[in-house]
Amino acid sequence: MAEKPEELSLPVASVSRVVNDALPPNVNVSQEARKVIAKTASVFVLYTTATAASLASKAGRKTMNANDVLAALMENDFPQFKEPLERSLEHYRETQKKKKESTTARKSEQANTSKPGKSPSPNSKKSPKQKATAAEEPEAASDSEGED
Amino acid sequence: MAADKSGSSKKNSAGPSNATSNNEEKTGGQSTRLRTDVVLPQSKVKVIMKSSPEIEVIGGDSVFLITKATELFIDHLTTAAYGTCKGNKSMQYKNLAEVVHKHQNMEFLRDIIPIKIPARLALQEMAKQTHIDNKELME
Repeated sequence: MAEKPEELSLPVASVSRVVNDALPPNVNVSQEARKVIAKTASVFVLYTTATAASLASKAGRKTMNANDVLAALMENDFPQFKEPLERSLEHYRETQKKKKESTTARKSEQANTSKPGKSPSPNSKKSPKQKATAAEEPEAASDSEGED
Repeated sequence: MAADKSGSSKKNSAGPSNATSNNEEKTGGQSTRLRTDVVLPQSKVKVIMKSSPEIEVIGGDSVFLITKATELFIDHLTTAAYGTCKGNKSMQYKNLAEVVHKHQNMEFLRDIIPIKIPARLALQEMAKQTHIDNKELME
């Protein structure tokens, strides 16, 4: 592979943050231990990826998905990670969805402002009539829905 | 929302003041297990994943999921290694090696973190081994 070995290991600084979160305060971790933890983390990534990829190919898929990763962790004997991971994944998907929605909303807003907007006065005059017709219609509407 | 707040505060506290900020976070009760965001760089994780020869296409959520799993793994390994320190407030290589060689599910790391032994003992071991080999040859 073209990558240099140092490019294939996780940065010690961010790994150290996770290490510090796991330990009670004022615990000393030697520099050597930090480096080794970063190395093991990289190996863990590769190990999990390889297992997940083989699970995907066994199922006849080329794309590795979230379920493959979860199944790989179960196979590699880390069942205690499943529950927190599912929670994180749910949260991640929600935030991704929100991001998507906000970008599409922004785009549509831009499209609306660029078009000449209709004057609101005729709409507001019509609205009482519309309400009345809407009040009469629901039965018919529900019937037609049932037919569909 | 609480998770988001702690995440942003952690980003601010990166650097040499880690020990004190860690103290504050502990009182807030936010560990890696409870947080839903990630600290490790996902781009780096993706590079490592792509270096694997088996992989063809990486699905959207799997990079995030592996990043988070790696954080949980670091948490797991560190907590277990701290358990072997026995009240000693400092974690060394030997603590990690001990954990890796004790737990069945960390077998894949045994070649990466070998247990270090003094050269004297290693030489004795080697001498013993050659002795046994010679004996076997004689028989």
